[in-house]
Amino acid sequence: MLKYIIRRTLLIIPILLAVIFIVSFIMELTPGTPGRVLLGPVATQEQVDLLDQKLGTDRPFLERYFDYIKNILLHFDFGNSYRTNKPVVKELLVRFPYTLKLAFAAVLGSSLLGIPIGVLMAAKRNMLIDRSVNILAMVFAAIPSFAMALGMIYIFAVKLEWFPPYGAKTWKHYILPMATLILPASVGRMRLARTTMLEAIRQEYITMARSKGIPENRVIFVHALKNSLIPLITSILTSFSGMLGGTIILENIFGFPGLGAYIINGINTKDAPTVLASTTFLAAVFCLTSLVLDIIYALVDPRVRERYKTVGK
Amino acid sequence: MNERLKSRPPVKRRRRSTALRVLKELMKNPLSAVCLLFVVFLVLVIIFADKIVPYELGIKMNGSARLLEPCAEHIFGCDNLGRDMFSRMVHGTRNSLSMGIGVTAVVMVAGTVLGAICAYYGGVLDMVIMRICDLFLCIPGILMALALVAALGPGRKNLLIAIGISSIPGVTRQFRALMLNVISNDYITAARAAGARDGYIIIRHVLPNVMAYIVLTATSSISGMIMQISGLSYIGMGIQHPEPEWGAMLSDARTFMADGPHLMIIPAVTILLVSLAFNLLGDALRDALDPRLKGE
Repeated sequence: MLKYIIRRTLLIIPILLAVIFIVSFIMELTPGTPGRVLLGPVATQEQVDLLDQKLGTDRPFLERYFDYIKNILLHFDFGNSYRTNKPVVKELLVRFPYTLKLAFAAVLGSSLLGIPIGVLMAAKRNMLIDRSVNILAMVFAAIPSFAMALGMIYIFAVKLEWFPPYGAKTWKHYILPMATLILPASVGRMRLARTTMLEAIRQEYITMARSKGIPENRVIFVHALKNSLIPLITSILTSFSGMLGGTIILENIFGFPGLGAYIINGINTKDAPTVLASTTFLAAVFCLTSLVLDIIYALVDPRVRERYKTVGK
Repeated sequence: MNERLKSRPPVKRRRRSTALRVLKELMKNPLSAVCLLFVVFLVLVIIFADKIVPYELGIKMNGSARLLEPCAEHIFGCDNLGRDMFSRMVHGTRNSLSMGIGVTAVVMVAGTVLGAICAYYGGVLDMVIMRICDLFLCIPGILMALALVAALGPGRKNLLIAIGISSIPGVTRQFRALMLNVISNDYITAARAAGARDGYIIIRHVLPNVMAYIVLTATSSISGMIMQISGLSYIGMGIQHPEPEWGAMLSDARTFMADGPHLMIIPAVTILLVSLAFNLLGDALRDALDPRLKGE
């Protein structure tokens, strides 16, 4: 098992190296050198060249790539932002908590709201509730998050004036972006919890437990729930990395000073160190989540654990 | 005996058309019939947009009609620059939807070709393509698309390329798995043993067996594609002013939310209805193609 975890962790390194390569290659394709973007169209070519030289962006692509990797490995240095000339890592660490808070709250909120209702739906089998949840899920799946965000702002910030539309100063600022993330996610989770529970309830050991005379509540909430946990955990963890990506546009709309807004800003100003570091960071989070996912599988499901044991030998 | 066999007219094989059967099945259910008709209507709007309402109406600014509410002359009202919203919506639909359908088609074709190559030939080629797909899947799709648009510059063509590149890996992966399943069948081995060429096997034996799923995936991914396109246009990375597009229109509407809510409501509701129609159609298609999956 330990061997498996170590191998799986080491595998992240080449992935991240390649991600850095892809993204820096894409940034390389961007028209205009950083010097030109920073100084604007009025600056003379000499000024631009001088700045490019100072930033070191006139060197060949591969040389810069290997330099970049070397700096990360030796000094944990992701370079300085072209725009502010401050280390990107510092800025990243200021921005990321906002995004993390949002994504974490969204995952937690949608799970707390969705899973109990979904489990109850499976236990009670009410056609009317099933129908309405399905319709809701359909509708939510058809609204892009930015349109929903606009709707939220219109209703709750402009018309009712309950919450501020923009910024991240007080807890009130968090409500609208969180609701925009939580509502569609929780409906999805409800449906998933319902189907996995129904699947579990159909198994023979449930009939067995019932015939042994175990109270129905215990059968549902202990025996069946335990076995429907794995798909739910998967969905929670994968939705976490999805939420991190999904906040990119939302942060822009709600004026949230998180990672998403930071990346878009970086892309617009051709601030390559910013974009590179943020993307690498997000990719690392993605890889780590899937690693954690695999380990949790093994911990929760004895069947999977058994398979790793035999593979490890 | 031999003579009789020869003189018998060849038996006409009735070709069972899946498309026709599925169409019949779809029309049976009122909900999916409505969705199908709506999609046909949308396609007609794309084709005849210029005949329905002139494009100039949606571009020409008119100071006296700023933020005009819907009325008899302008049934969808006017926007913040006094441009006719109906014309902007019709031509915006043409832009957004044709891009959504177009990029879906490209992604499906690329995914099918790559998936078929990986599944059929296997080996090193398969491994290389799959590892590249894995890599791309490590970067959030929207981020990938954003970076690509930034690199190539905003605009219609670049937006399509960006979304295409960011969605092909996932689709390739899915189709490869599907085709691997088909290729493991005995009739493929039989065809190989009979000396059929690779291309012939892929086109005549593998593709027909996965076609239904490809169509299904295409239908269900159109709404996601439309959302990505309008999302990127919303943050100014897609179609540029003054051309109308749903996401760009919503982004314009944001500033005038309090005074002209119809600027926001009309495109938002349109996106909702169009996505809903494609999603429902996708579900109905799945039920019609594979009754076993019903209700899942």
